[in-house]
Amino acid sequence: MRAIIADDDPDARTLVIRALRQELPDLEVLEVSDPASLDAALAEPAPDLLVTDYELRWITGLDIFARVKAAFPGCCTVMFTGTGNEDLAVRAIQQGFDDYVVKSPKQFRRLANAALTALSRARERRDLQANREILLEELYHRLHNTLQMVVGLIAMTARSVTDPDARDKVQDLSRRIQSLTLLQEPFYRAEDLRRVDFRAFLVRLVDERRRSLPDGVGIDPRIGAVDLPVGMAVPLGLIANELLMDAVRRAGAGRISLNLERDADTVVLSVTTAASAEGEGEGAPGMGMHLVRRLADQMRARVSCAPTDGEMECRVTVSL
Amino acid sequence: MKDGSGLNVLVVEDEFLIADYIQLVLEDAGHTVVGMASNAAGALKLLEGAAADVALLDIKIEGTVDGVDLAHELRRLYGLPFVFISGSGDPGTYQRAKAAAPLAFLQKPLNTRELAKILDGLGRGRP
Repeated sequence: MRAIIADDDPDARTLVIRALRQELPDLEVLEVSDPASLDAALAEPAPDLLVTDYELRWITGLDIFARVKAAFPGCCTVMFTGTGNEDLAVRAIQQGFDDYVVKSPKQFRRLANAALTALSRARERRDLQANREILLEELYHRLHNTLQMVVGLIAMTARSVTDPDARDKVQDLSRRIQSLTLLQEPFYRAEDLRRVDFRAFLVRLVDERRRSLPDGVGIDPRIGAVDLPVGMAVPLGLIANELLMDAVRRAGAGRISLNLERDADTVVLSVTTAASAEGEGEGAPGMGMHLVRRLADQMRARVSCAPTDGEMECRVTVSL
Repeated sequence: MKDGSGLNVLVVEDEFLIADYIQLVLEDAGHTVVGMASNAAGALKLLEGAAADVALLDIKIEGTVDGVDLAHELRRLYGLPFVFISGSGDPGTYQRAKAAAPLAFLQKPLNTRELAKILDGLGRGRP
């Protein structure tokens, strides 16, 4: 355990250190009384605690706080001053100090208790964060293992199917499951769990689909940076997968372009294929387009598919 | 592979459904599964009686020795190359796994084409 003690008065520092060591016998202390000792303290490994006076000759306690927190955001902080008043106490707490203790001979014990409370709260916060990470890792692992089992079961089912058309359908199912899996990854990595980096998902999806393209078919993605709320990312992700699978089927031997753009209040996903003569016949609305329309309804998106200049463009517009 | 470059593969995976699936994928590609184990001790025991060209390793497996530790043992004892196939996505596990220098780190659900490509490369590279 390490603490920075900032005070101009050497006697005050000694008393603070003595009071803290009664509760924390192993406490290492960095005493700060001028700019050089502050710089030296900031160059040391992270402290657990800062106790600072308010009015030092060369700096204020609020400025010391700012510098320590900038270097060590997790450090607990207590202001210990005799020159303050209610206004300063409020300002200190607003700035982010864990506690404020009025400096007087009878208050050293209170200072030590304030430090202990702040340290134990910080520990709880760290434990909570660690637990959250463990929980996420565990969920992620189980989810992926379970999806792997589902994919395995589908593959084993596909082997027992003799009709080629039926086997294709089972393989489409496998691809749909896989696209759901890809959606989990940016979600798991997100800082804010309510939003998903949709661009990262689409980039991965295009990579996956590129691995199983018929000869001569290529995908040209133009994917802008778009974050989406989870409730929108999942259906739009499935739609993107369906449109791509459909485009691959109808592409024949051409290019598929996939675009994702956003402006102030809409996101537009579009997939365009050169509608080849042989591809057109297979363009009959199948399960894929049915899924697209149902998913679009769910998220109140507009879908339009129209042939233009020998190309077929499917465009999904979502209001944010 | 039908050209004689099929590999002898050791599979270490503690979910039998996934192990069975991996076996199917490997056999479809012309490889031979020389053994399937659900933990490190089982894998090492298998290798006492059978020679493998490559190991496919899950990371979170039964027992106290995980797939990454097992990989180091396989390299030390047999010089065996290996591929991780893992459901874990946390950066800590990924870094540890990468540091063991696998042929590849594949995420579950497994992309079978990617696996095939890696094994093909290994098969062609053999004397």
